[in-house]
Amino acid sequence: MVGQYTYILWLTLFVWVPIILMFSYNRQLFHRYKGTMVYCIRGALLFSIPWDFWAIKTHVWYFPSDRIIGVWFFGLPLEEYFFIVFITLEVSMLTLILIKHFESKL
Amino acid sequence: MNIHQRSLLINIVIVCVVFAVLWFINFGTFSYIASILLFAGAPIVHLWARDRHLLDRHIKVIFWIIISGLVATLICETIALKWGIWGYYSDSVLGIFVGPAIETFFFSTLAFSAIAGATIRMAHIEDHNRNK
Repeated sequence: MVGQYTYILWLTLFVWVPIILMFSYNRQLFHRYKGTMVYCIRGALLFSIPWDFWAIKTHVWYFPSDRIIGVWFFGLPLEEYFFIVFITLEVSMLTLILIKHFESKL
Repeated sequence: MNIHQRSLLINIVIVCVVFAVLWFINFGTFSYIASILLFAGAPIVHLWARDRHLLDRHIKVIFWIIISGLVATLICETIALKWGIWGYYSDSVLGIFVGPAIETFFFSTLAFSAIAGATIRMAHIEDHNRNK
């Protein structure tokens, strides 16, 4: 597709663009709960880094070298750190939007 | 030790135990599903054990997060596999594919539920601290 930037392209389309869109329409909401989102990201990193490390080392999944930038930290490609942080942020943001939506219907 | 420090310590212990179990026991074709049940299931059990009533109040939120996660997995994971961004070793997965490997749907259900549950819990604490 776009060679070593393929994973970055996927993150852009499915993670970063939705985050930017959600943020544009709910800035005050996310500012109010920024501690919540930081907490969730911290928890996700705590669980996901060992999990991902184990999965790569024990041959559960793999990342072809021609689809990633090639920068690795502690056994994981850089893009995986982006995946963990920003997918968590995306889900956390959607959760906050849904909480606000359902509470406004009460 | 305050509630946050205790919670962090419990989570660190859970991660260490789960990692040790998975490292030393070979689950073969059940490796992926075992890791999902342990790494994503354990935090959910911890959350529900501690905050069941709070999470029950927001069950509609968690339900829609799961539905969104399943739809997103079907689309995004299929594209990721098609673009060759990542792949699975055949001797570590069950071998049942619905587009993505079936285990990935379990992953998004459990992992997204855990994130939603943690978000609900911390948002409640932030609101409580703000109203003090």
